Formats: sequence, structure tokens, C-alpha cells
Amino acid sequence: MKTARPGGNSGNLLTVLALAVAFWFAAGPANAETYTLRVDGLACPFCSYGIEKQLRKLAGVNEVITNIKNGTIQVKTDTGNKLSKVELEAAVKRSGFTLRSVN
Amino acid sequence: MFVVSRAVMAGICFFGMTLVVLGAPQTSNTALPVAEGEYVFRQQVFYKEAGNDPGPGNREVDVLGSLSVLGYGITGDLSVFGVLPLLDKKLAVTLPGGARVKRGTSGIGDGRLFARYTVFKDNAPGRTFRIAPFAGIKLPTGKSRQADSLGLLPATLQLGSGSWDPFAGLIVTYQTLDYQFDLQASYKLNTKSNGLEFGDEARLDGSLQYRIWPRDLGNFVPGFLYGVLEGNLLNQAKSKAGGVEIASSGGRQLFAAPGLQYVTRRWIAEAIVQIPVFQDLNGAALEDNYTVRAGMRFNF
Repeated sequence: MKTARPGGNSGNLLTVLALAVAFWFAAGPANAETYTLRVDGLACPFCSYGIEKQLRKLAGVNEVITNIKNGTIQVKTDTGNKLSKVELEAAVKRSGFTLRSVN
Repeated sequence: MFVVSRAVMAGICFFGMTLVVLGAPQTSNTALPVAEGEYVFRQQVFYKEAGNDPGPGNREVDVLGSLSVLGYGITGDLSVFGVLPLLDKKLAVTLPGGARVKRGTSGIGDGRLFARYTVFKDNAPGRTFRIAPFAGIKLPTGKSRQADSLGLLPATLQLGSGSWDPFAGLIVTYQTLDYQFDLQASYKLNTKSNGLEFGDEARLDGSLQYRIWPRDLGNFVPGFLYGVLEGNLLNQAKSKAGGVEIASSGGRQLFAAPGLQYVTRRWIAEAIVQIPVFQDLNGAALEDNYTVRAGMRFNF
């Protein structure tokens, strides 16, 4: 006859959850993507916000960070939606600027 | 009195309603874009004084006003703008009997609608070069038949001209991370209303903005503090009343305008003073003393 250990099942559950959280933090959100855009024509803060607004409208984008000195914009997604170069190029064009490259 | 007054007032009011659009210059336009589907808004207040009356009336004029400008990006290259002024105009004049009287009016002035299209752009890392023509119309939204106890106010003291006046121009902008240069040439075809036709207006505006702070841009997008120097060359033909040219109307003016501008991603704060450098006005038209402008722009 087996005797159930007090808290045995909940202890296992906590272990699994802890491992899952640790893995999530180590690997980042599932399918998260970071794109680094080089944008031509970007030369003032007011205009940079116009580009950022267009990029934020793209599905899955949760963060847009501009480095005006280098003319680069980092776009991060967290929903698993990948962004194509065509999408990014169109968004930059809608703001009146030119996409040079995407990494 | 009526004809003489409105004739001399023309000299102090033409170009008073400077075409102000969202962008970098404070007394003219820029070719920088408004993103597709996005709005930008600008609110500018100004105060202008004119005087140096060569006649016995010792006329003095001051105008306190504001310009509200809303811009919308139809595409990255095509934008439309609406401008609505609020004005408070005052004239002090000594009558032939020796009495000093004040006349004036306040309310909505003549609005403007126009579109701007970028026909050429050369974008490169850290700089952009653009050419953008624009065209629009001045609307007769301001009252043009206001009167006081002395009778009908002079035409240029009215809030509006009563006429529909088309205008067009071309803007060239070159912007780098360190500085920006804008040049605008424009022409406004004034039409007749209430028996009066203001002279057509031609103007050439230049603006140079130089980033004076921060010197190092860092890794993100800091606010830029620009030192600004602008120039405005204005020319207006003589006005006509009943088909006859008004002697004391029209002429040429050149203004220099130093200023400051602080630009962030979401808003801009700015101020500038327009000082006359050269004024060659016809007849007894009043000369501008100065115009002070201050404002904010917002990126929604």
C-alpha cells in the first residue's frame, strides 16, 4: 500500500513550471524576431517618429528602437509573425523614406 | 478716408498670413514628409507691429494672431494641409480733428487649403534632398465687411479679403543630421472682392537650421536644439480699387529672422523674431517694425 507524500504532486508541478520559466527566459518568447533596418534619408527626430509609427502598425511588432546616428531601426516581434523585406520596405516607404537593407 | 485708409493699410498687412506648414522652417514650408495615414498639428502664435507713418495720422498697427495647421499624409509623398488663423487687429490713428482713435476687429481670418507632392527625393544615409511643389487656395472664411462707429473698416484691417485666391510654389529641402536648408518660392494670385483686388504676392523664403545641441547623438534619438536663421523676400503688386491702382499699396520687403527650435520625436517647440532689413513700400504704406512668432508642433 502506497502512502501519498504530502505535497508530492504540487512539488513536481512547481518544478516543471520553474523549468518552463527558466527555459522561456533563456530562449526568449517563442519565435521572436529582431530585424535591423538601415534607413536612408533619416536625419531628424520628428521624421523618425513617422517611420516608427508605420513599423508599429505591422502585425506582431512590439518594439521599435531608432538609432538616428547610424540610421538604423531595430524592430522586434513577439507573436511569431515573421516580417518580410517587402512589408518592411513598404512601411518605410509609406513614411517617405527609403529602406537600404534588413538584417 | 475709405480709399486712403485701405490703401495705406495694404502695406502693413500683405503677407501677414504667412503660409505656415508643418516642418522645420518657422516662416515658410519644408519638403519633409508626413507619413501615410498620419496627422501632424502645428499651433503658432504671433505678434506683429507696424508704424513709421509718413503722414499726419501717426498710424500704428498691431496684430495678435494664431495659426492652427493640420497636415495629413495621403501617401509618403502626397500631403494635404489646412490652415486656420485667429486674428486680433488694431489700428490707432489720429483724425484730422486731432482726436486719437482706435479701430479694430477680431475673429477667424482667411483659411487655406493646399496639397504638396514630392516630385523628387534623394535619400542617403543621414541625409535627404527633396523637391516638392505645392498648390492651394485661400478661402474667404474671415469677415470682410466689418464696420465700427466710424464706418467700414479699412480692407486690410478686415479679418479676410472676401476673395478666393489660388497660390502655388516650390520647396527644396536638404537635411542632414547636422543642419537643414529649405528654400521656397511661391506666388499668390489675389482676386477681386468687394470692389477691391489686392496685388498679387510673390515671395522667396530661405531657412537654415544648425544643430547646436547635442554634439554627440548617442545611441537612440535625442532631442535636437537648432539655431535658426531665416530670410523672407516679399513682393506685392499694387492693389486696385474699382479697377484703379492704389498708390499707397504694394512694394518690397526683406526680413531676417533669427530663432531657436527644439525638436523631439513627438513635438517641436520654437520661437523666432522677424526683423525688417529692407522695406521699399509704395506711397504712405506703413512699415513693419517686427514680428515675433512662437509655437509648437505635434506628431500624433
